[in-house]
Amino acid sequence: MDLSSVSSFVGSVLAISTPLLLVASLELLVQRSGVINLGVEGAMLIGAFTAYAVTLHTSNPLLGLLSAIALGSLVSIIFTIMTVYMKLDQIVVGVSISMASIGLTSYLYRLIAGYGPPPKIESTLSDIVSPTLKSIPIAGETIFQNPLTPISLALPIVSWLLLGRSVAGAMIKASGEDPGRACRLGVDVAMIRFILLTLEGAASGAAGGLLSIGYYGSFLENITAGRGYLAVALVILSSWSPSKLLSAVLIFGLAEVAQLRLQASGIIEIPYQLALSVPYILTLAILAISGGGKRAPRSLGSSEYEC
Amino acid sequence: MLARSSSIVTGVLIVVSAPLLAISILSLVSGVGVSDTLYWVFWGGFSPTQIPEAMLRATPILITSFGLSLAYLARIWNIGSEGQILLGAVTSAWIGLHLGGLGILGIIVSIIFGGLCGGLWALIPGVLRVYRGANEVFGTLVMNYLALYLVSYLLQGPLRSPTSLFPETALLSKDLWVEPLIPGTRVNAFVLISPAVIVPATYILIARSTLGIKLKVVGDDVEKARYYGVETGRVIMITMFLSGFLGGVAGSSEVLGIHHRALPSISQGYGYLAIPVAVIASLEPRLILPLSIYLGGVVNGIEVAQMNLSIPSGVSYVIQGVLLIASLPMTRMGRR
Repeated sequence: MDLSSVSSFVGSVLAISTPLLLVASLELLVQRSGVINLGVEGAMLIGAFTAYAVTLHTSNPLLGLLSAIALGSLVSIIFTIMTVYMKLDQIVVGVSISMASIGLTSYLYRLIAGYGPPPKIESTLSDIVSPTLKSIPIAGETIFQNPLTPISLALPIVSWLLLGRSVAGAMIKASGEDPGRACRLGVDVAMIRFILLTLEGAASGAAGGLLSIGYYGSFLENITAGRGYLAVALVILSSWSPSKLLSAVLIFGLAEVAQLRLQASGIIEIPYQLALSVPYILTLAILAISGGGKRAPRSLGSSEYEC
Repeated sequence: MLARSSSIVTGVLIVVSAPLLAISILSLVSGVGVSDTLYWVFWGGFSPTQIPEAMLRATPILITSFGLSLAYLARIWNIGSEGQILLGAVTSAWIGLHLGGLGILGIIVSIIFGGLCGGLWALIPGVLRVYRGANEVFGTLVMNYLALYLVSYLLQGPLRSPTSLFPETALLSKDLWVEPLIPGTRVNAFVLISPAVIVPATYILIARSTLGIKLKVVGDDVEKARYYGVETGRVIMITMFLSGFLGGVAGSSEVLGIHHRALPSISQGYGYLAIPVAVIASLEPRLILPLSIYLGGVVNGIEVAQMNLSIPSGVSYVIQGVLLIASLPMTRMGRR
């Protein structure tokens, strides 16, 4: 393999890893604060659709991305109201939000696109990266292939620093281990969860936007295809450690690219339905291996606590 | 007691109004008058000529929500009925293709295999829950998508009829068709038999049986249930299997009674529509039939409205999602 094929391979791995890292890094923080959010799949879908619709009408991918971030946050805020404040079951709420999002985005997409071929957008997210950065050899087509990849690579490091080296991190962990006690010691557990969940919604919206206006150039029904759920499962698999999460996502990206290339070159032939099932199969396998997870934050998934 | 009845009233109001509210908003978005839409929804759902179609759609919802209501009584949230219905339908058709000439016996065998397949599919997340502590909502949801892809593969590949233009199985032999009983309609034996069996069965099992009490104890407090000697793991796996089995039977009824083959669109979201019905039925079993018929009618009415007005399809997915979200607060109601 020469240098350019190596950098194209690495570029593909990072392309697959970026949306997962964006969502999973924040899901990790959210789970450390005691909340499991399966609504990320929905926030990603809404983000993907919003970014597409806005970019289609304005031809401005940056505006598309920002709208995706805004609406992704909104989805997360709805989740927060229902779980943190109304104290409904986190998993059931998350799943319902994601399901409703599939319906809503498919409906709205048909409304603007009809049944013909999907209208393609004119410029994609990678067009808003400055040409200087893109002209850097190797890094230009790997790390700077789109504006979100460098951010996504920084996020696990930031989370690691935040959790291990800061007061805020200590407060997040306290909320996830024993929210009642944290609350009695003056930590505003609900506020911490609210902030983290909103940020996660923003990141998920951006990740969804990356799929539609970064990679596909249009929207597809259920474009996220389980990546949000997979991100949640990868957090569980990495036993809530940012460094393990980073490696888990990169290994998944590597395996996925290898699989895609082997298939494209005709070395292996698998039905496309099996390829599409991979995120779901992995999610189920991770659930089976890790189960409840002995190292899970102690109050993960339960919204009730007494202050 | 008062809390329970008021929560049932709230639940019914939510299930009745949420789809109407959602379709009204969506038709506004599409630029169609709300009153036009609602007229077609009600005409398509509940006018005398359309009632048989509404009952036809209510049947899989009724069968599925019966199994689910038992699971929900124990607070085991199987949301994977859609996948269980699909796989039940495909298995039932596949077995049925080998049973031509057996008549009623073939029909029974086909139903049983459809149910078994749905039950086993539901048992996977049940086993993961009991032995691995994996959350069953997450598990059954993921299994839904896997079922979707598996069925798509089977219908495009090994089970596809060589003579058909679409991804679907061949037609079953005529003696396996459960024919309409009322001339001029599609109302078949399933539509008439299932309420006659399910309505009393739901009531007796939930309100008047020791199984119902056991399930309720598991639902209220797993620790306490263990203390009383209820084997909670077994209860979870049995209810998962049973609810999946009934989902499979619902799929089978669609194959044998209506389409006479398996096709990808065999379940019109019945697995999701059954969820709110089952949540309420676990609190008040007598409501299982009226709610199933109502949702069957609304779904049929929405189809009719879509055909007559320029509303894009896909509305039913939104309704399913909205109903799911709306029925959430109900999962906490009535008990505790």
